Amino acid sequence: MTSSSPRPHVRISKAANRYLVFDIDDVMYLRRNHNICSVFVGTMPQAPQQSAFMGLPIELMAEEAQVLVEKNVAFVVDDSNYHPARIAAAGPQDRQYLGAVKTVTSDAQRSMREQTEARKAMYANKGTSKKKEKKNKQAPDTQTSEDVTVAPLADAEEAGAATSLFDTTPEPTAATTTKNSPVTREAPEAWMATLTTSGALLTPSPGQDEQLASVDVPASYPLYAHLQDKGYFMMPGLRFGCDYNVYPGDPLRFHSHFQATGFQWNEDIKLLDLVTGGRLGTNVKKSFLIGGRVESEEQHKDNTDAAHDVRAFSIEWAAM
Amino acid sequence: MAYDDEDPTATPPPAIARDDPSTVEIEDVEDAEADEAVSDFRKFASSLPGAANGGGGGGALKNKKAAPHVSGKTIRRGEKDFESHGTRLQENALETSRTAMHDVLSYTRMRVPDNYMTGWYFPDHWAQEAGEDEKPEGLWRRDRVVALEAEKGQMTKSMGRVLRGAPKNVPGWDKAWLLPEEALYLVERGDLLLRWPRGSIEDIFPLPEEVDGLKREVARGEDGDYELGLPLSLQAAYSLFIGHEGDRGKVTLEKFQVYSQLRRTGYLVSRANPRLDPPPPSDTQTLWQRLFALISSPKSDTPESHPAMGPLVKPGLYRSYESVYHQLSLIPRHKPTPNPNTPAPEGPFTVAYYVFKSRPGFTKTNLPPPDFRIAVVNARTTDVPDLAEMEALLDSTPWDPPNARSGAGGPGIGHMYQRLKHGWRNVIVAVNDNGMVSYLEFMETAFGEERLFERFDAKPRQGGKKSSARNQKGGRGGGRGGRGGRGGRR
Repeated sequence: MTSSSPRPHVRISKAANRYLVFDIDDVMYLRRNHNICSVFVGTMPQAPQQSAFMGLPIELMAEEAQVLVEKNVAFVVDDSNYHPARIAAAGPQDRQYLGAVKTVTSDAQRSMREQTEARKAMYANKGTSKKKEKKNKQAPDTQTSEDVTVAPLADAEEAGAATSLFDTTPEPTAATTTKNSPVTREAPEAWMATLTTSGALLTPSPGQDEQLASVDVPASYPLYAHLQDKGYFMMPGLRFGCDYNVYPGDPLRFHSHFQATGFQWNEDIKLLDLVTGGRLGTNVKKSFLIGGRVESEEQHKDNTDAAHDVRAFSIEWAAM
Repeated sequence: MAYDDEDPTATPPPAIARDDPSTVEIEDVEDAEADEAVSDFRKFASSLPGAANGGGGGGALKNKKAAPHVSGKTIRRGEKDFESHGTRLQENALETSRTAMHDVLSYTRMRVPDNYMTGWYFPDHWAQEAGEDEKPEGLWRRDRVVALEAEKGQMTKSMGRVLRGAPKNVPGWDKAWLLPEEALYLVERGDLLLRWPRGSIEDIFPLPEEVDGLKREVARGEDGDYELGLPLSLQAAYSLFIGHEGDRGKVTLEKFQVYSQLRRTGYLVSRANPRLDPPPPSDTQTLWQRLFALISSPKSDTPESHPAMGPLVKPGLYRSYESVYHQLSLIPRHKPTPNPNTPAPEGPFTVAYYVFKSRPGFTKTNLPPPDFRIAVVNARTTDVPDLAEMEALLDSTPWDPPNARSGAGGPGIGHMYQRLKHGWRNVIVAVNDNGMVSYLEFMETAFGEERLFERFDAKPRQGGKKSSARNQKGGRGGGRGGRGGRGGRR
């Protein structure tokens, strides 16, 4: 959607040491171009009573945030402070933000009305006036005759009835613009829209230097950066008792190959850890991957590029 | 696959084995069980009502009738591949999945009137509340930061509380106030329109003395209701409600994720409230223990002191297995007590939420004792608990010995495993690694409470018992002690 040539930086919200991304375009951009998928952690409003499919935001691991910052495609803002301050400081950006809210709302109303009219036409054809009466009873106290038919849609709306609601950007469907502007007539009270991102409210984003929050990465970061650089997708390793669960491509399509655990170069590795990791990996058809950053005197100078000088070893359980 | 270890050339490269379709098949099955991270958005998208065919009138109508409830189980997970083989088919499949994901997640939360609630964010309204009345009420007044204009819908049956006892001259005293996790969860579901007030709370919730509603009408200019306050986005809600442990009016992200996952799965959740726990038994001996005491002698709890050398079982005459086993027990064993003097838990290993199974007649004002107690820890910053932490955590949960009433079967030997599994206290620890949550249950279990040898004594005398009858003649201190010992081992 907004993928024009110089893409704006991805905004990472830092809230209490966790890193979140709210913009779906950013999320898909990271997924397509930077092999970062991360975990969707939000309840999906269309189907809120299940946990198999999750919605926005995504929660980045600290490593992911750090990699993106180093690649200069993202910046991290401490939103626990910055965001409330922006809301409190009522300024011109308010109006812009409200404008977005209204656009979304009125679009939704319009498309809803279109659907209603289409349905009306269908009922008229089929002559199902009985059903219509029933609906009128369900919503006795709505204001205009047009709204009467809108209200019963409530249930379907809960599950995300209108496809056109998916579009936050207004589509110029010129043919059906209604006579009186819906915004002034009923928008404030009638419809609610919770945008996913705060958009205009957060612009201008803090300058690249001033508000940028730091990222605390764990010791296994070099291994992460190395694998990331090689094009692997990684997810948190909780389910497999490792640091990262490593996929050869988008986890939407591919099974993971490795369970990776980072070690310091001179760290002693317990044999039992290898056995545990190796056996677990074999059981879930993955191989156990360990790795760390080579430590030598010359490399102490340039500590910046963590992805290099990392060596990784994969351990597979041999058949006996 | 029988091949020689000594000859590496004979070993088929693993890649070949993987390309074998049958092997891949197995991998799919196994990975599907273990690999819960990703789901197929294509199937999900098509299962959503209204999403199927581009909003055409007929399609929308048909889908409206379809049940709006989508359960994860009904959507079969899509097949996945081992690795990229560069085909267009694979690329297309991936692209379709991504597009479906993009479409589904681009959804903007939107509701028609009567179908959502409006909540106002007043973070400091109850901040001055005295801390001491937290205890009797258990309402976390100071953490309640969102006031609902009106309670609507199913969700408010378990969320939000009107603060009883609040003085009536405080605006918002008759409104339901939400905890941060409740508010954020409702915003995520799309049930709550969260607003940031531009004015004071009196503007939003005028006290009855003022002409009711007049002020609000006046406040509505050309921008309508928006001048009173800004409708907030999901991002804003996260930035307002997510905080560090101990921040007032905020919740940690790991706790919130556990909270919302439990809610999504259908459980009802409240913050941990020890008032809901049954009081610890005042009589230290429950009926169950008394029964136990009848058949076991009290002295058997403490191991005897033994001489440095010599047989464990003193030579002598034994009439029961009990006395023999008593001498054999060297290591003191854990015995759960209903009233331990453990210090209260600190740090992450503290019960954070009480979880209730959904049941009819559930009211938030009169919560039953919880079904589960959950502590939430961050996988990245927390180590495995040490014994003291675990003890403190477990001892903060109420005494729940295994008996028929607690659903662990009766006292008989047949229920032994049930009893051991049930334990004397139990708590669930949710481990959260960047949004992925695993649940572990910990129990206080006492294997020493299951005395199998008592069974031998309780039986009517028969068979091997004759030997002890014979020993009777020898009396104490005789040379036959060894046999007595052996009798115990039988």
